[in-house]
Amino acid sequence: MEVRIIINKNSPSLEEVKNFLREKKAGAIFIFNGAVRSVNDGKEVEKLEYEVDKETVENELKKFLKKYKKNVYKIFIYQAEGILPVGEDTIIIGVSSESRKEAFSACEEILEFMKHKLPVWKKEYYKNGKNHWL
Amino acid sequence: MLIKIKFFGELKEKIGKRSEVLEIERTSIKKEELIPFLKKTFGLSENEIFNIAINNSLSKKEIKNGDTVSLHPIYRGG
Repeated sequence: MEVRIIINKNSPSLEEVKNFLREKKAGAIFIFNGAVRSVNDGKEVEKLEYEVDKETVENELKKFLKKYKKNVYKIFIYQAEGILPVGEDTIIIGVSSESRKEAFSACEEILEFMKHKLPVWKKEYYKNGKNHWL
Repeated sequence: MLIKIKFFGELKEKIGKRSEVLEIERTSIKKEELIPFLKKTFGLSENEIFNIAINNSLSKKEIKNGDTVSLHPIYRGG
């Protein structure tokens, strides 16, 4: 299985993600794309700041992804860091697999793992000038 | 032993720095012993909840001379 992990401020294009994920044996490519939304919990959001412990995230992700041996061919992960305006990509997870079932479930599992088990934090900046770590 | 401490997120703002080298009069220390020691050293509340990574690993349990310890606020979802 081939894995690409990118953590930086510049989100890849959809074409770049798809080009990496393409694989002759794969019958399914599933891509999830998270973005900064304009309203959260009733408050108007101006931007988000992502802070990532990059080395730990990469290390723990590589360990977690070892579970995907059968029928999952390629995994692409992008995690944003730094300041992101509304609409920007926050996370991209792409999986190519033999059939759709493996791609759907792997993508969801990786997303939940990243959201709840990895050192990634976000600070929300509101249009009223306040900010808050989430 | 000397260990490097790295701070992230809210903890970085509370402590006011990104990293610090700390000397501990031990040859090794377990993760569960280090956490209260760090709270006292950096003036954090006993109720402060954080996790630590040792040399970029969340599963390691013991810290030795030269290790890097990352202090992580609660993971609330990226």
